[in-house]
Amino acid sequence: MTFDKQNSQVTIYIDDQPYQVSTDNNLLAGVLSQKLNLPYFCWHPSMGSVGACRQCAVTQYQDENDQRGRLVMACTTPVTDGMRISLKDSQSEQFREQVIAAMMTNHPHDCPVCAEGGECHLQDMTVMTGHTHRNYQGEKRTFNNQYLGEFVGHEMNRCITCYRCVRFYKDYAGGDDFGVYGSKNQVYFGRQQEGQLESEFSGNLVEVCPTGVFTNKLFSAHYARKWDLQSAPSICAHCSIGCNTSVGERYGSVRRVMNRYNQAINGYFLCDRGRFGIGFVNGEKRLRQASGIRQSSPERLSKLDVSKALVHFRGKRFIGVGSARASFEANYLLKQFVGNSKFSLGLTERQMQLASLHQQYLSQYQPVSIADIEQSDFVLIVDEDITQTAPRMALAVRQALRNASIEKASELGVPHWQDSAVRTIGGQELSPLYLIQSMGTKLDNVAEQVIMQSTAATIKLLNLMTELITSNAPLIDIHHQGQQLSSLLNQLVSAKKPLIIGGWSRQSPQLLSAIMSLLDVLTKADMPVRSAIVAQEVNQVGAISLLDQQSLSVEDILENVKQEQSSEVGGIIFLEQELSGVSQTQLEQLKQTQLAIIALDHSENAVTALADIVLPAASVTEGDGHYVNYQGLIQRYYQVHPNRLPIMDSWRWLTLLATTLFAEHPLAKEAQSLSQLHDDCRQYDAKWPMLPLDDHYDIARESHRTSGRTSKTANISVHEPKTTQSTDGYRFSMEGSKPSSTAEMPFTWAPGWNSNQSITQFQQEVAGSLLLPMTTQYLSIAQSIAKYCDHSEAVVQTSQANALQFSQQIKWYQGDWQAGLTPEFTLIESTNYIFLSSDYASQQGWQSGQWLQVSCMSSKDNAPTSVIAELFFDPRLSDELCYGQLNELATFDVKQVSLMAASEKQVADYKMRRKAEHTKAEQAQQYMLERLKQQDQFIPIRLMNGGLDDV
Amino acid sequence: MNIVNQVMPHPNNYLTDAELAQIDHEISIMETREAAGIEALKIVQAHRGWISDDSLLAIAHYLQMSSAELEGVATFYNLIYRQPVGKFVIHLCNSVSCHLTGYAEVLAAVKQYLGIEYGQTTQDGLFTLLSNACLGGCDKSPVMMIGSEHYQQLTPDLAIDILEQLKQTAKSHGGDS
Ligand code: SF4
Ligand code: SF4
Ligand code: FES
Repeated sequence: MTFDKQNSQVTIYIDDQPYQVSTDNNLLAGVLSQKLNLPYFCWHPSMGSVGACRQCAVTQYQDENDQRGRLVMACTTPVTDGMRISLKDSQSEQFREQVIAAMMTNHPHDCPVCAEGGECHLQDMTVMTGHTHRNYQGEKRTFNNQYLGEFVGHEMNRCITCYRCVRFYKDYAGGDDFGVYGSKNQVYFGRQQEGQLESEFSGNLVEVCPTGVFTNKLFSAHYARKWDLQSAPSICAHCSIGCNTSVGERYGSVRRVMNRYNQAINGYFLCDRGRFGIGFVNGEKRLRQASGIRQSSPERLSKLDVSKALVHFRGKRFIGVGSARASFEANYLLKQFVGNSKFSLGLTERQMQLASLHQQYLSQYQPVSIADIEQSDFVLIVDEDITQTAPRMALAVRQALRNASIEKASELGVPHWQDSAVRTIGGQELSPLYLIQSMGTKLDNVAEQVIMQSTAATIKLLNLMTELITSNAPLIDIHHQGQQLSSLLNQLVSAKKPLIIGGWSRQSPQLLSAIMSLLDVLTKADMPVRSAIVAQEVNQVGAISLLDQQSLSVEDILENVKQEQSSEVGGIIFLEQELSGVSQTQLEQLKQTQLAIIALDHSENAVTALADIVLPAASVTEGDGHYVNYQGLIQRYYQVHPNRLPIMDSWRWLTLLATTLFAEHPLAKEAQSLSQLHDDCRQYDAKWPMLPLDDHYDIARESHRTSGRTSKTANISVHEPKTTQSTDGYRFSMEGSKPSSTAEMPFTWAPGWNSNQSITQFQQEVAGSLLLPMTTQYLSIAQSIAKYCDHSEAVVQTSQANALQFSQQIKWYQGDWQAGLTPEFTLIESTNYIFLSSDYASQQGWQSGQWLQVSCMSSKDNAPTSVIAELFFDPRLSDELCYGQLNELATFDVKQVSLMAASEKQVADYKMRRKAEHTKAEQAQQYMLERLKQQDQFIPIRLMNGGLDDV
Repeated sequence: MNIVNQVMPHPNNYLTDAELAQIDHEISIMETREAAGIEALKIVQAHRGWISDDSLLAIAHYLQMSSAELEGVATFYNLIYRQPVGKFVIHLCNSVSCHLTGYAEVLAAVKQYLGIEYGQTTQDGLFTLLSNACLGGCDKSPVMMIGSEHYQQLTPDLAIDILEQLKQTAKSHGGDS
């Protein structure tokens, strides 16, 4: 990315017409920024130029009198004032056509069976160059394809050798299990051996590859052409970054997630959790009917049925447990209805402390955006494995580390976009990254220093750093527990754009508080420090902004429940809350009470299992609402497809429940649309965020080429159904305004540009902001929980003899309950493993690769859980520290473990159990696919209409 | 943390002391460990005749580089053999100059004489036939290379004579391969 961007505009002449073009980028980017058509393959707006494909040739002239000119590759040519080029001259036109012709000698005649068809950059460029005849009669080179895992398909014959894939996977995303092999006419892109791609960004290959070599396997398994998909702008619901996505649907089932360009956040790339974790919306665990309510008509649930079921609770108070994955609106309403003193987010006491600190943090600092992270010249990450908990952020950190080499290159006069030259000049040189952490991460090998220690030691270390900076002591020769700190401290205080990242995953308020003290002294000393705190879930920041002094923790709720006889509480409403932090025994306690339990959720979980009434809630793809990301940015997701009744948005359910349960509340009325709800909330609460809900648009969710407008439901009725009315500015129809009428485009398309690369047509300039403005509204957050601000000494102590401190490594495909419902995520789960210090292991006489029995003392219930794990060594670990992954313990909250060698039988049992789980996931995958395909032929006409009581 | 999910032979058990010593020397004169990759491949190939998957993984492990990266190097250079080859590997130049001066006839003769196609090895394990884009001898084309020897201005007969001779040498030195 650009470092100290110098953006000066100069005049250049393209086919004798003057254009204003930025000198900060190459000629190809300049031409495309003018919305002119110039074909290209190897150049990528955020990966720069390598000049590999020769597709972007143009003719450059010395001056007005030069008639001949010479061919130059636009992507490797800088923009200079007054330069003259032609795109239309026959010389360069012919050259470009012949480049395609050469590629076509090997490209198969595959389009009909290719998943890229209809949105293929190669198809688009071929047409653009005018190459419309196949002249080549010879043989084509062929390859064997590889199995690359559950997500990415491989069809190497389609390769045109542009090198984009390997540049993305290796150079940009730091993956090391992918490469390019061979030479000449036999160049192969793939893994060294078949197997699951290990990078958490592998799915981007699908969009980066200009042809159909890499395809989204899950999409291919239940496929539709891009032009047949109904799409809407959405927000990834799987972590606190809030990447922008475009989700595609047909016949009522969601087919895929694609990147939706947002310059400040995800840019051109998503992580695999976001791209492939969408499966849950079609999943077997989905709740599609209400339960616990007597329906008067067997066909459908009516509002009257719902009120009848609730009427005898009228006048009772309810506890409301919201969640970090429910929309901002739903959480807000829940809090208003149950009242401040009965509102909870299902957080433990400890998490409430974190929430309190996080509120305080957000009230003092503006977290840095993903795009701004890329500008950093120093990064310190404190005990948070962002590669797995906020992958897109880690990708941005990787780009920030390149700034040192970009700067070095620019000193030699090589511009930042000359990708291969910059990489050659930079060599191994990286901007400084420091990691202080209790486990290994994928960023370790690009870090200047990794300090591996327990969270408790990290807290002490941060406090020491804070002291040193406060005292203004000279920062030379400073040690902490054997670690040299001088370079860390010196680089931190001298950096121009230093960045500190922390997060929730250690579940340690002391850690967060220590990070904030450090930020505090740096800020007070006027240092330009920037920061980000990674939350656990998509709307965590939005949800915790609602917590206040009176809000309840899980412990409070259980206490409340115990005294339930004496209280006026009639029940608990759970809003999209699976209570993952609560033990089975505690759940049993809830079950034992006389309280009515009402659960609103999209899929089955422990809470819906014990609920008396379960109401099916919309998932992100059929819902309409807002999530608040880690920066406090409020972002809207739109319905991709109509909700199939009685599934409804949680906020709709809540207002419906309120009409019976909380009838006196001013918000207890059903809103017809999200914008009406916002109007109501604004009238009720002056602090309600002002958001421009541009519902006056009339944008078609379908492309204007969609097949079967009138016949999609002909198997049920030959009458053309009325389209479902929607109130969000987008229509469930192929008729309406074009997708680019707003910055929140349902999909991107431009004449001649069918692939996602059409986005260039809607940017101010290549890789810049969109032509139409994005709404950027931040939630203002105050620290409103004070009672939990107990900053006492670290609680983490090793009490038991022989006990080690264990840190759970959460993988990208874990840690988000919703995405975890996708069967493919079970299929790629690694077996349990644990890393120990080699010293400790050899003292015990254990070998690497041996299996151990790990007994865990969780802080919650003290009964140890015993699991089996394979042993590996990490020489950086001290004797009392270990980390790894124990799938049975999804939580971050494990503190102490004791270890012993596992018996052969234990290992055999474990392997058998895993095999069974694997088989089960495979069956689930198959079954789901069959069901979805059957459903394609059966869409009840009701799906096409709306409203719970609608006839 | 990447979990090693390929079964990597441990380099110290797999590579011989002689190989390791030579590789260590190369490492000592390179800027980075992985820069010794190409030399390490040559060393192991000199000892074992070709680079097996196990050799590749062991070298990658020893140089602390990814096997994908090293595979890229190994497959890029056509003098690194990723399959077992015969005692004599014939690199026949198939670039433009040779095409103009009789490459096709030479190739046909060689193929017929050996009874193999490109990429194959004769049953007696003596010859492997590979193509090679330019050996730098355009002025004396057609050209082929066997071992470190270049044979120039080939004709079908000349090429076969050369192969005959090699076959004889191999026979008389029998068993020292
Ligand atoms: S696989 Fe795709 S991205 Fe990679 S080189 Fe081939 S065409 Fe380019
Ligand atoms: S999981 Fe997080 S990083 Fe990944 S696509 Fe979703 S929001 Fe982005
Ligand atoms: S895009 Fe310019 S050479 Fe490939």
